[in-house]
Amino acid sequence: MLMLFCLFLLVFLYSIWPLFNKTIFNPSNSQDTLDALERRKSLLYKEIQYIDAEYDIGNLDKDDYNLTRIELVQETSGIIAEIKLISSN
Amino acid sequence: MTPVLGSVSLSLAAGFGILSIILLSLYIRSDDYRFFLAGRRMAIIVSVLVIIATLVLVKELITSNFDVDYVAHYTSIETPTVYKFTALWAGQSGSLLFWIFILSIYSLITIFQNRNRYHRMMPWVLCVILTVQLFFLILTNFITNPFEPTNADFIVANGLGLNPLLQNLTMAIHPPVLYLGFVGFTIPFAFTVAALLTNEKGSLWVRSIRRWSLVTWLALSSGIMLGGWWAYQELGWGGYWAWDPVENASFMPWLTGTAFLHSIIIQEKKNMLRIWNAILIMLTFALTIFGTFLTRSGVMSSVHSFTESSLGPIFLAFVAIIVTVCAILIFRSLPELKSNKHIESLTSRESGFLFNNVVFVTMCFAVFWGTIFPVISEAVRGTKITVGPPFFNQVNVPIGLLLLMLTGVGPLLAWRRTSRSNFIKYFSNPIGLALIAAIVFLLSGFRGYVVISLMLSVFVVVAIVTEFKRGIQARVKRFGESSFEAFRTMVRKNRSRYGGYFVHLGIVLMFIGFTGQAFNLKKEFGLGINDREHLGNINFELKQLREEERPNHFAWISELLVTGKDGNSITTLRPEKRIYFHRDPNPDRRQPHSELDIYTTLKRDIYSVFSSIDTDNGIAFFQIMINPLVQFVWYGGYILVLGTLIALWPSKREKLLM
Repeated sequence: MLMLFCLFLLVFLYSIWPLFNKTIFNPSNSQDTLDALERRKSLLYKEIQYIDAEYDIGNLDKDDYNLTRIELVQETSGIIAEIKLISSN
Repeated sequence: MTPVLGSVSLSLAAGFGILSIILLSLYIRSDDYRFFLAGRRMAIIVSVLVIIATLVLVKELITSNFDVDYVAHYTSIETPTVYKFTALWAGQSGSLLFWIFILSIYSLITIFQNRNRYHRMMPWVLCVILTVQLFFLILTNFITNPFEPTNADFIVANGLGLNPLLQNLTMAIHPPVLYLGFVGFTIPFAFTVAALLTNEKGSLWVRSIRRWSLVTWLALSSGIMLGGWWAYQELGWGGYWAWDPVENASFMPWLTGTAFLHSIIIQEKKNMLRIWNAILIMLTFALTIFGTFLTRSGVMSSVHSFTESSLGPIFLAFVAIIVTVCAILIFRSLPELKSNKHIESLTSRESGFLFNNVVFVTMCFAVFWGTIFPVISEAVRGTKITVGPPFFNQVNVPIGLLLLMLTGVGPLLAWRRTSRSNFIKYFSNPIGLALIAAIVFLLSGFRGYVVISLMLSVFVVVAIVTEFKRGIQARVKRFGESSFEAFRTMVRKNRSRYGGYFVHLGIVLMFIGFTGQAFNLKKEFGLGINDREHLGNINFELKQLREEERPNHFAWISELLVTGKDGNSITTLRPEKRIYFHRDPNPDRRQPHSELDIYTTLKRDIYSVFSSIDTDNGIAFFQIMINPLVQFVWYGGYILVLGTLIALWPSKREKLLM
């Protein structure tokens, strides 16, 4: 029983230990933003590949394909610029 | 001593859960990261304590500690070890503990996976998961504690034993798999709530939950299919789906979850349907809790049993809180969630997805209404009006066929809009072949839904094959690859899409299996040794009847020779009549059970049930069923699982981002 109580005490101390550690600082939120942008960029690359394949198959009209591709490329370049800006800061 | 450890672990888990929520809330208010770290550690401890409590209960079950009421109720000395283990989820308190056990494992995975990311969302994600854990911890600590000691004032020498129906290997796998799906929807729900609270509505949210939803959906689908397989193999009524409330409880979140998996594609690709997706995932989670309420509160057997224990009202209150909080969150986030993009044409793939979503939700509502109607009628009018399979079939068969049709239509539609020329080009083959098939089926004597179902199955298969063919041809033309290489690369480069097509093929096979039910044959008869009866053009002759005493039951084993109309031997079936707890001096405690035997081919199943025996005259009574095409349902299930695994498999780029 005493051993269990000691174990519980240890676990409790482990869990509250960070509260007494003054060297812990907030992680940068920009890492989250960068992460999100990287994911979006990766998704957009995949999407561009996807609509190329869709156009080849015939699932997209030429006008729609061109319009969609331009939209995707524009969004991708915007994101790349944003990533560069955040990284340089 | 050990049951105390389990009980204390559950109490401590509840205490740590509350502390963790307080610390995480302090982090959200103060932005002091130390609070988050401490809160996260406590969240880990909550899960570890729940796991310890579960392991303790498993130990008590396996070692047959009948001082614990739960162990005495669901196991006996004779229960085989594997079923002592599965007794963990056989009763109410054990299954609720099992619920939190799985959630705790999911919680640990979520914490570990996201330890260095989603810093703004994670505190909220953990708060939501902890709230759900706390809810179940309150139930298992105060309402239905699995470590409750037995209240007998004598030493309990043996337990009551596990229900024989649950002593089946499928039943050992089915509940955990189903629970993996059921409980798993908590994680996408937690991320959705967190996203709404932190105003994160972009790709981060979609990315964080898409894979979880798919894994969970796979588990739920597999769980439902295993349940059907178990019912078919064990219950002896010859079917796999009876629209009973327990089945419906798992089917409803499956429907909304499936709708979500489709509409999330539109959000990923077009940044549309964000409100709808948030509603769908919240609805799915609420339905999993509601489903647990339906199956665990006793409300379905009688509305009065609902008030006998406080479990039902607490569950219902929790569902009400979830729905209210979700409604407020959605309402609050409406301006930010609204997309500035719109569906451009009714003949676009976007419309196809949306229409498919509406149909899924309509079906869910129909099932929901049919499931709760008996409860409402009993509560309002005092008499219980039962809604049976005829209602569900009448409503859901047409909706199901509409869904089947959309399974074929969707892939043929183009994004944004489908031009008239493309419409004719891509739809003419599937429609033409489906019509030819319909004529053939009509000429063969089939009528009604059977013809529609088979015709639509042909339509969908042709549509999917056309999609594969067009994709392969495009790659062969563009990159000069061989057809096989083109197929391989095409699937590899777009796993979610082509995996999805495999899932659709699985669904078609299942529909073919469902259609086979229209031709089921059934007959009941009694046979003495060497007597013969027939069903359709198949003869059944009782060749032998013997007795055998086994460790946990007594069995009469029959031997039925099955022959065709020209006398050719097809198989020998050996259905059994068993009596469990046969040594119990109290005859009321003895449980009869029919262990059936099935002869399976792709064309049909010959299903035999040894229903009863007249020992004085040596007559055995059998129920025989001939069920055509049932195997298609199970093969469809395998293909569905395979397709989902293809869709789930991460590409190299995704692996880097995981």
